[in-house]
Amino acid sequence: MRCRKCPRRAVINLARHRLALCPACFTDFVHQQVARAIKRERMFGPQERVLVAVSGGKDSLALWAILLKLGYRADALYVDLGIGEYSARSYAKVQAFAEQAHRDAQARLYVHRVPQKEGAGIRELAILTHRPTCSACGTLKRYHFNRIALEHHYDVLATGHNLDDEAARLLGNILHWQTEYLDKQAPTLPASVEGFARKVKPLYRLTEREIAAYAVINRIDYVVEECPMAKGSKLLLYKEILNQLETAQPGTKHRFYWGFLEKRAHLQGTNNLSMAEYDRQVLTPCTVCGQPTTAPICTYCKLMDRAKGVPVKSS
Amino acid sequence: MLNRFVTLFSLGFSSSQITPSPGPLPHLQTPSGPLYDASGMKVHLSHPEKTLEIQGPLSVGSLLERLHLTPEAYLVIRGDELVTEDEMLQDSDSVEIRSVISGGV
Repeated sequence: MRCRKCPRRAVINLARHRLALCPACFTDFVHQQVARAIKRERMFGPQERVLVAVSGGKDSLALWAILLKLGYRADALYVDLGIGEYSARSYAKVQAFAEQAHRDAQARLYVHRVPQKEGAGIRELAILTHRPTCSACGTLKRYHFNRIALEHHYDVLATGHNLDDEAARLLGNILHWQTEYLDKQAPTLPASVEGFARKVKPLYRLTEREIAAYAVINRIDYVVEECPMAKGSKLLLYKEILNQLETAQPGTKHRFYWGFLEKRAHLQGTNNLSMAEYDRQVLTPCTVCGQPTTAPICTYCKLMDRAKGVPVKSS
Repeated sequence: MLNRFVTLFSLGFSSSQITPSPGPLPHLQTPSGPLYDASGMKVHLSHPEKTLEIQGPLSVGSLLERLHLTPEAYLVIRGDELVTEDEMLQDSDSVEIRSVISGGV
């Protein structure tokens, strides 16, 4: 198979675009897709400071690499969840990448270590608080990403969520008619209230397979193994189903998610408020930590109080 | 159990073919039978971790089909280079089939 843009041998066939590409043309394609996402969804400008949430996986390391290649001022935050050898291997990948990023672009890596700061790893915290591990992990990571973005005056927080993540999440939300979560699926979530950083997903136009291919072609060394805590997750089941549909009908995932983005204004239905207006109505500062929450005490503070065996009280 | 169902589902099994017994998946469990040849190409699967020897020549697309793997969920890497589904693989090749799916919740 030959590259559609030059005479070289293709290394990837993008059935959804009817496009086979060589390594150099595919790398350009990925950069263009990310640049288009940033511009189209008004994520951030060239002078703004971006904090990338990195895990050691393909998506977050590729995102950091792409933003630096595109010339953005991107630093990163790694949250060490204390999942034994898996976390140790993940951190080693992040650290090796960060050293290169520092040499090439003076990029900086922040590290938050959960076992040291919260007193136990995520698995133990989840057991102590009777929460599913992925749910406790999400709460903890959201809290620290937001906190560190604000404390270090970053304009925007970028995550490695890709087209597969968003399509699978959309499928799950629709299957369970969780319409209240739909407007949080936008690629750009504004800093709707004081205490929230703007959040963006610059990889939303690219599939997991495309991002993994980008990492292989550009020699980005990432953790290939799955997080041991994610086994049996519903999101993985939805991804499998969507990939079977995608193989039979190329373009299914992007038609599903991009179609949702185009039509979401008509789908909101539950109220006529924009997400920012709605947030301003329902969110108030947590009485313990000050981060915005719909309850007197935020989910993170409740989780940590339960983990420590402290009764939850608002001050 | 759900994880086993997900794995079997991704490998093309219908629910009626799923047996409750634990252990290796039926078509990957022993280095014998029509898929295997001691002198064939070495195929490493990353998720779940397995190494197989499979008789070539055969195309990348045929390899994935034989192993009941959804092409959208995998990359095929020969040596250290990605290959497209029409590429022919030979007995002398060392091949990695890498899962690209990640994520929890």
